[in-house]
Amino acid sequence: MTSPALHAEEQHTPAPTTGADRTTGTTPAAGTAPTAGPTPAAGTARRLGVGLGWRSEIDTVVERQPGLDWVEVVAENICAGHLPESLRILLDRGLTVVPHGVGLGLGGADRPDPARLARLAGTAGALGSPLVTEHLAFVRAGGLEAGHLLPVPRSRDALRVIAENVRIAQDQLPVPLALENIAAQLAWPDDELTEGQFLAELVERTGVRLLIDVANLHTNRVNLGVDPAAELDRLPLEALAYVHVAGGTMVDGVWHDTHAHPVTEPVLEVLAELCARTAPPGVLLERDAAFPPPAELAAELDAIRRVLDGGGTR
Amino acid sequence: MTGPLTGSGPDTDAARARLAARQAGLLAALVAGGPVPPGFDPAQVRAQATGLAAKRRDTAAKVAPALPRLLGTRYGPLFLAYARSHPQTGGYRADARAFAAWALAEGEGLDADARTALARWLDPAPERPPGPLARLRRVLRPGRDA
Repeated sequence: MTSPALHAEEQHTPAPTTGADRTTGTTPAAGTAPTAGPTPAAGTARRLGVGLGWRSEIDTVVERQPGLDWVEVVAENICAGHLPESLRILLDRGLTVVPHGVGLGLGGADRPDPARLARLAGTAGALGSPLVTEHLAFVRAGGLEAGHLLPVPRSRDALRVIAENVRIAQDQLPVPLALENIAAQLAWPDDELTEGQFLAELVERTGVRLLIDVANLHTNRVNLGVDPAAELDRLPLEALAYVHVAGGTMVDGVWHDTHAHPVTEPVLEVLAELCARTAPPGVLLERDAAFPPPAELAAELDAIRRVLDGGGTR
Repeated sequence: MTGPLTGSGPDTDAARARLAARQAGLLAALVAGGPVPPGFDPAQVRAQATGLAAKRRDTAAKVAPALPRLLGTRYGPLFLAYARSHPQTGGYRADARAFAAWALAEGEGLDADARTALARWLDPAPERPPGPLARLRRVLRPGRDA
């Protein structure tokens, strides 16, 4: 994760949008439409298809991935005024680019920082993005930076605060916001709701959309004993914007959601569980480090497509 | 859902203060050696704290790759020792510089070459390399991390 403080002082200059048409397109990308499972929820979610996390280390690999429908960028790594050439190429090709924030801390006690929100809004504008995404997490408190996404206490008291934070963010952003479930390594004694219930409450109160990370659901199954299927049942999947898939590794009985290891079978099984309930508008593979050869990423994307097509996890 | 939907009132300040205290308490335990707040599983808090320190070490190495290159195997243990007593308050570049300054001033087991290299990284030499006193002054001068 990058530090938002690295960029907080940078000028954000919303560049002319190069892809206004991309914000309205709803035509499914050929070849990746799920053929099994329920119909797409509500039909309101924009169809994204199968995507890959754009990272500067693998920019040309991403550019050359066959059949890629869209990419996601870590919002804090992008400056609206000077987009990386690689993203320009992808935008010119008509790919959707979605900014994924890690530093807003919408689950924090403070109202969202207007400068950070303005920066995210500017990035979404420069990329012509149809939505932006963040996390149900806090990242700073008491003057300290966590450098990581930490779980919020899921109490009804905290819910009031976080719902207000979400509404403030929505007011300042030019496009819809979706919130992601996180991989937690600890549980709060304050918890009155599961993460799924808490997100459902936020959807109900704010209309925020959902980014569901199936690897995070798997992480919480291993580390905290949370049943992914039960959590999926609690989530209002009609609000689903897209899904994250990522690899990790088990060390001493603890699952580490590293984004630096191959995607494993149990994670794809959670994806299949989700696909049994709804046809996700988009799925995105996250790989942040220890980048494998391009063919390995392509194979992981194909494995995801097979799950979407109802062909199982093999 | 359990319970009624009580919409957020216009005034969430009291709830914000309660949430701020809870989150600050946990974060202090995770990154600043604070006590584990009541009710948490200490093993979970320890595991998360270890993970945060390792991530911080690796991220600082990523934004300042010269540091692990200059320090070799000393980088990891030194950074974790630094992190234990210096919680992160800003960005990773500032963190990497603060670590280098700390390692120069207090890092144990650094040979002369490593110290020279660190000092040079912190303050790239102009035409003529400054003497040891000037280097030390620069390193100790606050506000150079921005």
